[in-house]
Amino acid sequence: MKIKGKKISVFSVIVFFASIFWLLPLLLIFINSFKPYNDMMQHFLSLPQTINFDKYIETWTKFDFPKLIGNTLLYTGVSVFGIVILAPMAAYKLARTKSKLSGFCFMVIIMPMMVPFQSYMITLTRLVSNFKLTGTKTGYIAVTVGLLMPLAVYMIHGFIKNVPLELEESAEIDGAGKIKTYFMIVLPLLKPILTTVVVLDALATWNDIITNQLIVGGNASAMNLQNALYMQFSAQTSDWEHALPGIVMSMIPSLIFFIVMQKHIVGGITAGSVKG
Amino acid sequence: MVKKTVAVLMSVAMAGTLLAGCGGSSAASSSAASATSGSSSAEASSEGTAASGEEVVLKVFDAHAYGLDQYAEMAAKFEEEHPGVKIQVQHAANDNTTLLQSRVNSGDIPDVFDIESGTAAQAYYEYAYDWTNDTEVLKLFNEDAVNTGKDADGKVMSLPWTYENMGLIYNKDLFAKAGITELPQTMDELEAACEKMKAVGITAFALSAKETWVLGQLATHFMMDKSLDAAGVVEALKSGKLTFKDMPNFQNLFRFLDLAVKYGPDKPLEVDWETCENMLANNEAAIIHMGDWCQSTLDSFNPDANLAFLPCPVSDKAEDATLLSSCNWTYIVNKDSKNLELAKEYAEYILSSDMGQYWMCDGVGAVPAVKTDKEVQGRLANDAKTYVTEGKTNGWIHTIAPTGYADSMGPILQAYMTGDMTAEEVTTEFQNFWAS
Amino acid sequence: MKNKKVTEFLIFALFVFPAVIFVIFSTDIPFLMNLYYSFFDWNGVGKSMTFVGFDNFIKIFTADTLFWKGVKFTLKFAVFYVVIVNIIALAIALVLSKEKKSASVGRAFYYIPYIISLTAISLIWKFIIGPGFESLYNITGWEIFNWSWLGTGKLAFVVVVVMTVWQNVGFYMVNYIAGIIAVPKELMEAAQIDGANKVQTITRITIPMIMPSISICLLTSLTFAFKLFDVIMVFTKGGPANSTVSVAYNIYKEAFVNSNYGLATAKSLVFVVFVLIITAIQMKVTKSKEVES
Repeated sequence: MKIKGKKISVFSVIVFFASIFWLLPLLLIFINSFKPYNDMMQHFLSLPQTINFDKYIETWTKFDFPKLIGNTLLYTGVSVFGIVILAPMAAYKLARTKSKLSGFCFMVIIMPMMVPFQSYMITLTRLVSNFKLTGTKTGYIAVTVGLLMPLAVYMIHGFIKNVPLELEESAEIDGAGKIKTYFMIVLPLLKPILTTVVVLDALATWNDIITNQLIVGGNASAMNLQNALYMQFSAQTSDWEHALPGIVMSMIPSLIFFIVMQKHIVGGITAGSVKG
Repeated sequence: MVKKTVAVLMSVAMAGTLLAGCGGSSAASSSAASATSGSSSAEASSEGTAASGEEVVLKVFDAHAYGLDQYAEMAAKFEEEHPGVKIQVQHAANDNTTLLQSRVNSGDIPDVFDIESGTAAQAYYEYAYDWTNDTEVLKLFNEDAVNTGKDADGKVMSLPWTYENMGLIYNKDLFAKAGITELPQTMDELEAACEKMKAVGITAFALSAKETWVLGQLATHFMMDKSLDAAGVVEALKSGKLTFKDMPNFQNLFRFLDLAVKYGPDKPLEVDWETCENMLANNEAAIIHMGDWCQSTLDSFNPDANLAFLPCPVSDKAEDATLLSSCNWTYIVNKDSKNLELAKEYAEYILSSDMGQYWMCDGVGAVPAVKTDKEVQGRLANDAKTYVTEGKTNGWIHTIAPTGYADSMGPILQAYMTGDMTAEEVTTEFQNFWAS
Repeated sequence: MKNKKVTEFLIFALFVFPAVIFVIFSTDIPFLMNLYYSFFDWNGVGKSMTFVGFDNFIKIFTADTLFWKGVKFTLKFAVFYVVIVNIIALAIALVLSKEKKSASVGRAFYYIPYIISLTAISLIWKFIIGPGFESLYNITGWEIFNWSWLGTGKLAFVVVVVMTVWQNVGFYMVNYIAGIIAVPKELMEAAQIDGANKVQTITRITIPMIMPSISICLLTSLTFAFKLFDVIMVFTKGGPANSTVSVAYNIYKEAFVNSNYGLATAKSLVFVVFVLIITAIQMKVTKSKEVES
């Protein structure tokens, strides 16, 4: 038993050590966010000569970070809220209904996962403008919810298939209606997968560049964080001196968010153990 | 049951109002701005600026990532002089063509926008205001610059921004260190210079071969000689009068690439634009191929670097070595703009007024297309001026070549550098590209 | 009776249609609108288009070598990516699906690349492969660090695979963890009482129990691989010498650089049909596995 136990721990040790390789970028970005442009290019891997937060402060004011963070928070909050309400409802009903309509709806939702975004983004902007939503926050959020929906529905759908039917049946015998069953019985069971979806979608929205560019492009006041930072780059110039501090600052919220949320993913053990 | 249903409906409705709510409070949106008549006023006023309800929003699209601070100053001044006018700029340096294309397609055409002159700009001319009869405005600009904004019929559909010059840029200190006193003007002299530098341990070339656009631009030097200008070459190639096989200097391109590999860094195809400019400015390489647009980056690397243009040798004749000069960016005014007069005024303002010149000369550091005596900041731009006056320049081919030129031909030249294609195959590919 | 059917439909509509509407609006309709352009010669900007019938499709199948090169690259990438990323993510998830502090920190580490913007990621990789490898070569003297990783087609392919796996492994890890922690503890305990060792519990209990997670990860990794774009756009730019041009990148260039919008939409159509066939096969296979378990 001991030897076997050790085998696994050797494996664990490898996983833990390898994680440093994944941490590397964070360190490198952090280190380099304190360097002048030339130092960065010349000595990317060495420590900065001085640590001062001038560039951080400059970036904060130059890009109007409070406004950007406000926008990005709004987008992330509302989009994820929309997903969390709508995706599990759809996924649940689609998983439990066996009909042609159900199959068709599932296909309609899943199909976009196969299509490269680049192939329809022009027509998307045209459609958005037909609804007079170009440049608006509403338009951007609606599109974001639509783009995130397929994966969310697909993931929850896969999870629900594993939830035993008996629970719902017994609830219905107890006289609960379909909708009550969903909210009282099904939704709590979905906590682990919902948390996963929230984490994935929140970070996707937080880090989005291209959709924001396309939908709100012309309206600087509706820009999100990453888009504003990305604007500083062109084929022939890059403003790393502001971009790296900006990236560090924009990452802090998402990192904290992930650390907090992942406890709930794993904490789902209790919720998951209800079944079986 | 009923209660629950209501609860669900409520929550859905809530999500809906949330969405709508943030739309309402959202700023002066572009779509609202395009509908300057009527509905926009409510939204525009919620923005809080000049809440008169009669605010006019001018939508501007600008494809430059440098001189942004000066641009902001300039736009602010214009707003100051025109109360009730708000300038809404989208600075979209990266992916600018994609974003412009999507805006035009969605009907959200900016009132004033810029694009690279030549083939790229032609596509937008059907949306462009025709300046031909505005002679008062056109008089302000140098004639050759105005010519870059003409369509096939000779109508002036766009206004020029600044001159941009490209060629080889060399590090004077390194040349001096290697004992090179005369600038190389022919292929043989160039090779001799490389050899001299190698002898004292200097990396002669840092050609940015990772960038297909650099290779595409470089190749155009070898399509010209002094007998034909850029437009003439493109014309002759299109009509089939000239082929790449008969081009007198084209085979020297391969000799040049060989030199760049032989006297360049160990991994030539990994050198991107940032690396090559960094090497040049920090005295790690002597020659790169670039244009004066890289001045600001070079300065941020090493403001004391001793750099200058070197007309690119293309043959065994000294007079064939030239810089390539053109007004690359060109500004178009949307002819269907709701505020056409204002849009025209703004375009004229940024391209010719004192504030505009301040932006171009001090912010960007380039020579404006407008006639001016103003001192230009960029040293490379000033250096290029002397070659312009000496007549040692030619025009740009890559902007008037068929669409996708650099993206199609750049990889082919990379294949030559890695040894996957022969000079002959590359020549055929160039010919095929032009013929199709 | 009929009344019940109506109510059932209404409930179905209430649950499903809102989601469907959002998806239709932001993807399905724009994509279908695109079909129209595939029969036209259009530069993507101008007001006029020329109807060309099936010419664009004919061109794809007869004259477009770069597109097929991209298809080959994308398929090859998909195979390597799907296999490697899933194995690594599953391995990490098995170790880190515990409620320990250390596991929690480890999970955050693996997730970091997924939340950093790609512009920064490519900056870092540029320097790891450049000066980083150079100093490693000086220390170790191993030739592997002296190869031109981005200057050679075959090596650039490896770089793209390693980089995307490295960047996205956290995503699949989270999915696998969500699956693993849902496996009832009693089952594992029962197996261990029956004398199964750890490896056996993993292969006999855990893996069959997380088949849904596996099929989710397989499909998402497969669709990601087919849509590979960002890394190519920001990092390799399709180079060297077009060796890392993916299909999505080729479509993008065709539409926005070569200004052949009609041809580009035709390409995306051809490719989507292609992808649908492959994913349909993949879903069939994993579904049959799920039933078995």
